[in-house]
Amino acid sequence: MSEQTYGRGQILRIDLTSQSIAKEKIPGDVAKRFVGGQGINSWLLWEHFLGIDPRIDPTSPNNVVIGGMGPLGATGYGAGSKMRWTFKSPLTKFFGDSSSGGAFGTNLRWAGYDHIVITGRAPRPVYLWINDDKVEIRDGRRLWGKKVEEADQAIKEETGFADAETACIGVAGENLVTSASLQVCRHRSAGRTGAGCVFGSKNLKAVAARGTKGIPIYDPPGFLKSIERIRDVLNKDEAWRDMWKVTGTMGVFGYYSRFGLLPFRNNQFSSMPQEKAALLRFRWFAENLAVGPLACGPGCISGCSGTYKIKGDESPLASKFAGETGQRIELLVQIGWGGMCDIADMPALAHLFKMSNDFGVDIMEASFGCSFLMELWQRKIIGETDISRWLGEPVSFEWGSYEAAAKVIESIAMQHNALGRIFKDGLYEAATRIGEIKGVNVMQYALYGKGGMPGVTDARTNPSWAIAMAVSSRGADHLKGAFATLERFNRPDISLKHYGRPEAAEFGTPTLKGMDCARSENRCSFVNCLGVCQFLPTTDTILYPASLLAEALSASCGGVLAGEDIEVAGERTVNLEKAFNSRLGLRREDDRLSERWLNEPQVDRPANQLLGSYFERVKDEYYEAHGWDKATSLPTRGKLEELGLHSVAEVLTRDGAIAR
Amino acid sequence: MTTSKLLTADPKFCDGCRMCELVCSLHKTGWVNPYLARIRVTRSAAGAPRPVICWSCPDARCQTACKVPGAIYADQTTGALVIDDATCTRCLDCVTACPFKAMWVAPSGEVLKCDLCGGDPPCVQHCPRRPANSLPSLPYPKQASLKYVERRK
Repeated sequence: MSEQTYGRGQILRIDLTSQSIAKEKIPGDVAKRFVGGQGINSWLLWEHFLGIDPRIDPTSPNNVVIGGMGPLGATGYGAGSKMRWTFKSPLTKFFGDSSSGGAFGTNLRWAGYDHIVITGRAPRPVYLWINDDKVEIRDGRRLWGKKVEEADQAIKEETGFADAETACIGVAGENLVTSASLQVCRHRSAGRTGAGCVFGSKNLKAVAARGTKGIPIYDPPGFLKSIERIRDVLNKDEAWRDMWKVTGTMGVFGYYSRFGLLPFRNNQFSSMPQEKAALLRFRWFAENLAVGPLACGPGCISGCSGTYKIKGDESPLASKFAGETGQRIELLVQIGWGGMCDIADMPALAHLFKMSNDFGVDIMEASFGCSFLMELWQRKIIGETDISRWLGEPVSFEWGSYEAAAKVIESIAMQHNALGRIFKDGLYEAATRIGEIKGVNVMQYALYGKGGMPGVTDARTNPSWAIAMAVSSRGADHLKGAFATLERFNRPDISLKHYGRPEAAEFGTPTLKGMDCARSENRCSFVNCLGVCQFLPTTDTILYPASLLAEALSASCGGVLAGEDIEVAGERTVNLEKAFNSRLGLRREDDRLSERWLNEPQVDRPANQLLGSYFERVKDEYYEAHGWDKATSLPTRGKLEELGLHSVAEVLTRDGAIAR
Repeated sequence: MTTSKLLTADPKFCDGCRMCELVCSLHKTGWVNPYLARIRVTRSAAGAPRPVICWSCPDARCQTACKVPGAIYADQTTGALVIDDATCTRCLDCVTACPFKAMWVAPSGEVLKCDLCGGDPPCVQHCPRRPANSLPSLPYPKQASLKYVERRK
């Protein structure tokens, strides 16, 4: 495999303590081994914590936040332009990363930077202004305390460029809420694991970028051919053509509810009553609120987002938001506020989404936190007195209470009342604190996976997502291993291709699910190294072979690259993130799920096997598939050396975090 | 004018993906750079995407504003008005005269104007919201953001 460095941007290093700015080339061997995006980001994180004790408090100036976009992002390849933010998570205290669409990352690349590495802490609020070669640390005191939309607008005015794009934190990040999101171009959230908190801890309100230099392409006619090729593949993909492109993530909501994947009322149930689900489906949105289609960032032929306008008479709550416009909600809003909290009112969901984004609050932490409180209210563990004491005013936490949801978001962001402070460190900590306050154990009602982070769909219905939410390097989530969708979308053909038998696609059984999760992690990882959206090329390995993407990469960056080369880069990245967490002491017992998912039978899916009865076996299979030690979950020297990660193996040996 | 064609764009169907900008600059310069594109997508005050294209105006103001003979001339194949960079003095009168703000200046100083790419513009080929690319999957079956259609005689 040759080096893919033609037209690649620089690494921009900014230390806010010393106010130093440095630019360097991506070392050829790093580009070769980790490609870009998630891969190089994770490598830069690993390198940073070689000189610095990885056990530091993630809000200390010694933490680092790295932004990066892979080489196919910002190029017009057509598969989207996604960037990745990587850091030590203040929420989970281990590896943290989050991705975002929007046009900030593309501008960063057009300005000539593939990665930006931010360390230190500014003495007072600042923002970074990257205008091609000119990089400045600017006074941000005027922006501090502003909501995201306002701050974004103020930066555009202050720099004098309406086409400057920002990655900006809201009030939540300023207040060091550990799950705070980073808002890219206002609405595209790097939501999970607390990038916003790391920004806040550095007194960094925003990074703004404008790039006019562009990216040279090694073989322009060849690259145009690659663009045509992936376009033709996408047009052949029925799932893309008939659903994803039209509905975005909203489209699967109805399916999830029908098949018992939708957590309803804090996941006491696995589906929603049909008449309610109908109010939350894409069809309802399209018929009542939709204005037009929208691509979240440049260079995407899916354009799976959209815009909405609320007239005021669409639903019982709509009049509160009459005249509001914004960007289409995503599946997690339907699940979190619609399903978990039972708020079956689309305009209210749209408003809650917009409000979370403006405050810089992660919708998953907020909505799963709110539904948790609602269940405690239902069980009379908490009542009016508690809520009045925590909020300073009485608010009903009945199922479906919009007021409760809005209060939870505001309290988490503003940190101006006891409820906000209870939830400052995420759902798991909040459950612990409420348990202490009330003197009863309430952990059984908290829905979480690894790192105490909220999961996504009912893990019990779908073992391949259950395992993913227990093992993912950044804590419970659905974007790393959980793109193992063979089971969910019934694809025995892909199972046959990879394992020689169809059972990975068999719904609700443990067979091959650990194996498929491991394969899927490697796959997602390499797609995220490329800087394209992982949405489609990740799931269907038959339609989108790695060679299709490798060929585009060769045309854009030079060299000759085989599909296997980038696949290995993905596996290398997965192993590196595993090594990072292993250094921090994470072991098999940290790969866990909440009590309800493991040991509580599903009332509306009684035929499903109890997850806890077979879960450890799935984990065994997962570790083995990765070539890791199943007793401890630690990476093995053999595997690391096979991937060329000798220096990583040395560090782990020194730290006693490697299996023989 | 012959049987040549011109571009049209319908902002209602544009999703702001900017594929047109990116493939335009790639095709013309070998670089991916919206600031070298001869077609742009801007945003309305409310944030809605607005494609900005050269509409191939009859009695085009860019041409009437130009004081340099031969700097803007009609291409024989497509009928598009194109700029001869060698003759152009870069006075930018044409850029300010364009009623659609569809002419730009590259960082090098070169005036950027759509020339319809010899009759097969990649921006249209790659617009994901054009019917051939999107039917039958889209909720608005007649939609097309960017089209290449017959000129009215």
